[in-house]
Amino acid sequence: MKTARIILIYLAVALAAAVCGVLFGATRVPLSEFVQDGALNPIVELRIVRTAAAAVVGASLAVSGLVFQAVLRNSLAEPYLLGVSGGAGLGAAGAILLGFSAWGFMSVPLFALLGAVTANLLVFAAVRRRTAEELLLGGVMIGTLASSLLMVLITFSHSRDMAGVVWWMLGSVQNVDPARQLAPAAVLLAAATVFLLFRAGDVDLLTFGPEYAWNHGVNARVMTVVLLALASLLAAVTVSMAGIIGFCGLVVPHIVRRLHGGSHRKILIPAALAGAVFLMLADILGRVVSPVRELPVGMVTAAVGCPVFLWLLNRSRAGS
Amino acid sequence: MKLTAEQLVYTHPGACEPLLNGVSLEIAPGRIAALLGRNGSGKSTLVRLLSGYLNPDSGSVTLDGRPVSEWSPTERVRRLAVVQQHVAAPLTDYTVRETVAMGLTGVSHLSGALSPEQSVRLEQTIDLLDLASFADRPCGTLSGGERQRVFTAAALVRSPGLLLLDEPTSAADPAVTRKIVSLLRRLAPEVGILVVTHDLQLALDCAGYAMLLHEGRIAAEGNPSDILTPETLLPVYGCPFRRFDCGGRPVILPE
Amino acid sequence: MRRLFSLVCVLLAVLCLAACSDKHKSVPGGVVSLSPALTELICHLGQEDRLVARSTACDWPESVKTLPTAGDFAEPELERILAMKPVLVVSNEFVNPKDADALRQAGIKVELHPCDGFDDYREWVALMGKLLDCPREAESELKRTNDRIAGFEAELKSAQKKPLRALYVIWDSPLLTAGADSLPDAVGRLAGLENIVKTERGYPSISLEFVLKEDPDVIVWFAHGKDWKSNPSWSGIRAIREGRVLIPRDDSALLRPGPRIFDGIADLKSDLETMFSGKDSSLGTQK
Repeated sequence: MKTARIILIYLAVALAAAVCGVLFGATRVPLSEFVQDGALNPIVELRIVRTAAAAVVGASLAVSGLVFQAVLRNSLAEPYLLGVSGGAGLGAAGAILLGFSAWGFMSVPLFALLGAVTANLLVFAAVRRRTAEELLLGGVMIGTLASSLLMVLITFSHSRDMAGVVWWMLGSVQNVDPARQLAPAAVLLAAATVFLLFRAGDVDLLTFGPEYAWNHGVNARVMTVVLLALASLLAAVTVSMAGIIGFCGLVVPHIVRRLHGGSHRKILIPAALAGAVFLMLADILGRVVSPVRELPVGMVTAAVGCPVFLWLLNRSRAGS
Repeated sequence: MKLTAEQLVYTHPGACEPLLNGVSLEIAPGRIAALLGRNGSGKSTLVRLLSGYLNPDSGSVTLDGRPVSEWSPTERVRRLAVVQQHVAAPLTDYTVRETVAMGLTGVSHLSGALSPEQSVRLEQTIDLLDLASFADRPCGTLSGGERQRVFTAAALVRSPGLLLLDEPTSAADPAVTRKIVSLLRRLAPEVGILVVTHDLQLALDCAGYAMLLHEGRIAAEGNPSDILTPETLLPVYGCPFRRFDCGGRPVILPE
Repeated sequence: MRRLFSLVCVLLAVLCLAACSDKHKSVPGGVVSLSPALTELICHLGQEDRLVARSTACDWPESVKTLPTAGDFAEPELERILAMKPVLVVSNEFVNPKDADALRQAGIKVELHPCDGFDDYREWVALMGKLLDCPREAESELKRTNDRIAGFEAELKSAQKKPLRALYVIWDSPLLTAGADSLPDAVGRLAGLENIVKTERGYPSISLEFVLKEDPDVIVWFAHGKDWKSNPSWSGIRAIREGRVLIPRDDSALLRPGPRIFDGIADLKSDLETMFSGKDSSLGTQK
């Protein structure tokens, strides 16, 4: 299939998912009530923002995961590997537990972003030979360090604040500021996508290992660091607005790669759109399961994603 | 176009003894050079030093008079192509045509689409290495020898001036080896070639120059028929060889 | 706010080990209270001198702050308590139930009962009267409790107003609220409020969409120290836009099932009346 045609199909599915995201929710809003007194119904407005947030977060995670898996040459790689989740968790928990969250709505996201970026930079600083394998090990170590520091914070805190930390770590797109969070994240996603489209050839070559890439004109050491830093930044920004959402960045790139082959120029945009669709659907599901309670979307992604992935895995094995 | 290595010394990180100790070499069009030596003698490391992937402790590698590490990667690979002995299996499978085309996109990042000239060049290279019959198959379904040819094609598709091949025939059947030898002979007038090989016969048949690595140093170098003798090979490989004359073609075999 | 979360834990715990009457005999000696509400009750019954230690959360009356601490709310520090050699430790629950066994093994009496509503409170008052040997004080507190509750109920009846529909915000992100059987729900009902959360129990986290749909008349803000104006996704809630957010004067008086709770309810009631004076006609009606 032609790349353009694939992208069009994905785009259509994404639009359909977005429309569903606005139409369905915890409560029923008839179409006639979408506009009230000349203004948008606040429920609809809420759904638009969170659907857009789910799309941007899902797409960012899928793109990030795609890059991680390619550069680390490991289909188990995910966006949070280089210290992002541990750092963000520590930053957010620090903000909540030390009382900075009283500074305003943006304090927790900003501290999470700060923690994620700091941990990520630490990984790059602490690993001297920045090969994919050693960065991966460094990431695991810094992540473990951050988690144990988080445990220290939790031990010295009180159970009450922990609920906020736990919920935050489960991931949710309910509380996203469209202007201060969503817009910058969307701009970053667009910029990263354009950059990666230009550099897709390098990413392809890196999947054969750094020496092969070097022998075909890629400065493998520099590109490894640049690509992993960019992918980590994408993940860090999503984490700061929606917490840690597992599975999306791990499985979506994997599935898209299975369906459409390995050329990253061809699968980058489909992967981004598939990530957006996946998270939008997971968010809808999290909303409609109970009319009152809210299921964190990170829980839905794993609960729904695992069986779907296993099914796909077995199906494509049988097919090939 | 010329690749020159002078007095290369290289020690693996963490090792005490240098793996290569004062190796010099020149590769230029018009001549096929063969690099021989026992397993672990540093042949593949020498190739990595020549490609600039590794940096020597001392000594220099220059490509057309400029240190190889100072070239921009894209300019360097336009001139110097390297075919590794082992290539990691990529995360997902690319087809043969995609893999060979990557040799071109490695040069021109910006557009995924190939220019008409590049497309022609791609198909020529696929034919040159007899890949046409399975050009749209995923590389993962190919045999080791077929994969080796795919990676050779990916290196040749850029029409490089210099070509370093690390054991290009290690997985090839005799017919394919023969084809590769004739291909190298055909390329030799315009392309400077270095072949790393354990196949002494390959060196005798096609190389104009051979170098025998032993314990980090050059044990012997010169015309293959002069240096590939039982006397020079015995101390290097530790086993006796016998040389025959087969209708004017020298043949060497371990006893 | 920490106390509050522990209350959440209390609610999740198994309900009510009924206080069995003749098992409890008066105990001479020191008492450790690890629950702020019980500390207040002990002092209210005039037994403050029996207290030898308190939890870090116990801060009322002011005079208890001079007592040494023996752990956080529901989290005893075993060694410190053993060193004090008390005869009785009281709390609503322990985070780690095994702590109670350790104390009992050391010969210390441990009373752990949750307190989630007025019935639980009455039982605690009666129990304390026996444990601390102050039946007369306990009797009068029981009478006061019944009188105050009856008073609030009579006022509600005479006012003949529909209750205001309220959202109790315990924490803003996630949006934690008080469910149907919770203490804020019971307290609010006496102050003339009706909880919009009716199906969920305990302290559930609820969806913003549900709040938008229910469109509460008033938001009672227990998320101490958090700003209700700063979260942009809340701006769609009418009560937020129109500033109908009531921050209790002293949320410890409202959320602690202790002797001050009736004053807290009275304050809440009068604050609500001030907030809705003049706009009663339009609000408080079911849409």
